[in-house]
Amino acid sequence: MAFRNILLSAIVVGIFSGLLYGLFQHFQISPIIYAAEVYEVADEEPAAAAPHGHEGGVGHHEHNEEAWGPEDGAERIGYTIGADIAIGIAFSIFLISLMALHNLKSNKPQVTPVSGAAWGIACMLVFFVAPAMFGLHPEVPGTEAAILENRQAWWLLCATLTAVGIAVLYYAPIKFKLGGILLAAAPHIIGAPMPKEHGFANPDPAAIEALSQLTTQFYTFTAVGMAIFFILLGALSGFAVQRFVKLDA
Amino acid sequence: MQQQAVSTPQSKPLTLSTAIQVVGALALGAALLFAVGFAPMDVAHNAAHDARHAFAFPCH
Repeated sequence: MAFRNILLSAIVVGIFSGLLYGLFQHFQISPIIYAAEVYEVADEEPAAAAPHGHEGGVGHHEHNEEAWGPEDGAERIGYTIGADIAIGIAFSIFLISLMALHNLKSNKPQVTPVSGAAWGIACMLVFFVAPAMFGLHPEVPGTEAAILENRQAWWLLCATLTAVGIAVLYYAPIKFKLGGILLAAAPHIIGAPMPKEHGFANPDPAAIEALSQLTTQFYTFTAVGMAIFFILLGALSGFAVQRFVKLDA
Repeated sequence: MQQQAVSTPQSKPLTLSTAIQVVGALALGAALLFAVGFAPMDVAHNAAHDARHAFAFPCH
């Protein structure tokens, strides 16, 4: 049963890599998020004053006070690590499924843990490098950004086209390979949705100074963490598909 | 070890069903990623908030 094997393998791989990233996040990334939240201003203020951006709040997601959220401390850390694991499982399902499809259909060499690490790097290009480093930069809370739905739609377009582009580059005959590069480049030619003015919601110069520094740190640590996470995720997925995903049974 | 017998008629539907299972798994992965990383409900957002930031998903 391919489905069951893919799912069980992905759960184990996702738990390992998500837990590792969750711990990395706890020590290196979450402190930056907490520090940035100190400078967050209440959502009502910019909505009432509306100096720029947000276009009257149409389609903009508001945080309302009544909505449930985990308590700061152990509960919040627990939910964060849980969410990291869930995202790890989702990415691992993608990797293991596509690796299984590759092993089933392609004439190229079967996936091993080593080539799996390369798949992990490709996965990082799809889900982090292309949409975030080349597009919507990693942001701390309190950063001004374009309307959420537009950014999510662009993110999805970018990740999809990068994935298809890499697949074309790898599998297609030589004369079509240029098409792969064009596909991956297309979302960047369209351009990521950006706010009219880049900056932070808090107008205080001291807050802007602090948030700028936090953004630089945040960018660095997410990039390092993502590299470790995706290489491990790819290698473990490669191992899993080699050992546990039987396609002809 | 099983002999490869790709051209036999009974192996064809088996391969097809494996491909469908793979597609099913991909769909499940996409649904999970959406729920954790992109779902707009406040509860989903608040629970996964720090993880969404740490994966540089669009947030806020």
